[in-house]
Amino acid sequence: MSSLVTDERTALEDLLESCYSAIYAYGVVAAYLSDPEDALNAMAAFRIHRDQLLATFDELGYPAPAASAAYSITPQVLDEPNARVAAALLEENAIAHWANALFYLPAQIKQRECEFLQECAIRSFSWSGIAKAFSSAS
Amino acid sequence: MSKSIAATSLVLNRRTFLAGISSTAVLVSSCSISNDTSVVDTTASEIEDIVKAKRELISDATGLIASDPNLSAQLQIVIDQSLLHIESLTPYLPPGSSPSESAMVPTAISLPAIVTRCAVFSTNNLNTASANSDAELSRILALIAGSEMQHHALLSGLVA
Repeated sequence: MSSLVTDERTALEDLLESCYSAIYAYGVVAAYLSDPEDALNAMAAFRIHRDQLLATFDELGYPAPAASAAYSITPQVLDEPNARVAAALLEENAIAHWANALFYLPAQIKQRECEFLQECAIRSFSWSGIAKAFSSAS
Repeated sequence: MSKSIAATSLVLNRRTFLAGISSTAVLVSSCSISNDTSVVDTTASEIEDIVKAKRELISDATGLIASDPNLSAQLQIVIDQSLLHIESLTPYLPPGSSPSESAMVPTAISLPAIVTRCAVFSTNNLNTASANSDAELSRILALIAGSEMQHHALLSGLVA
């Protein structure tokens, strides 16, 4: 998905798709956790961010892509440990997408998107306990 | 005769005018080249500062491990990944540059200070990434900023 980012519009589309995908995945992850509070909070953060991005699409006059009915989740979530791994990976994925898009984004939202990338980094670490030198998109 | 002089004079004026236009174009294009060079110089200088700051962090983290070996597992991760960050930024340094940590008066190094620096580095690098005119360098800096925020989270757990 990141390789398709070539300008402002495709960058915004890529981030919106990442939000849709994360919201869907956190719904599955939360269902497998004995204490789903963190997953639900993370899902709420992505929902808020999705709405902010949709507002940006409106402001710039771009048609926003619609969410798909379902998204693939890596790894397949069948138990609590896999749910935690999936949550960590989706946040890693988000870091990579936001880092790729940052250059192309309109100046007025860059600060907001930088802060969101940092939030993803914190959440990724909180799920896995692992710090990475470079996050990559899965 | 006077008409001939007037015509010659007109030709000369046109030539002067065209020459003027031509030199203005050269001047404008020269300014453009100069500005591009300036942007590259500024970027290289910023990267040099980032690498220098990272080397100082590595030096301080190494010193902290020496004074408190209990912190070595987490700090070694920060050191190793900071070295990878420096490696990825090396192609963007000015030619012949090998920034090392500045000679500072040794002060007591504290873990909370390093924790704070990781978060500050992350924010600063995202600001540099946002303003950068090179898409790939912007991406690398943003990824490094994500990693630095993870370092902040990793080390914060030791302070609490």
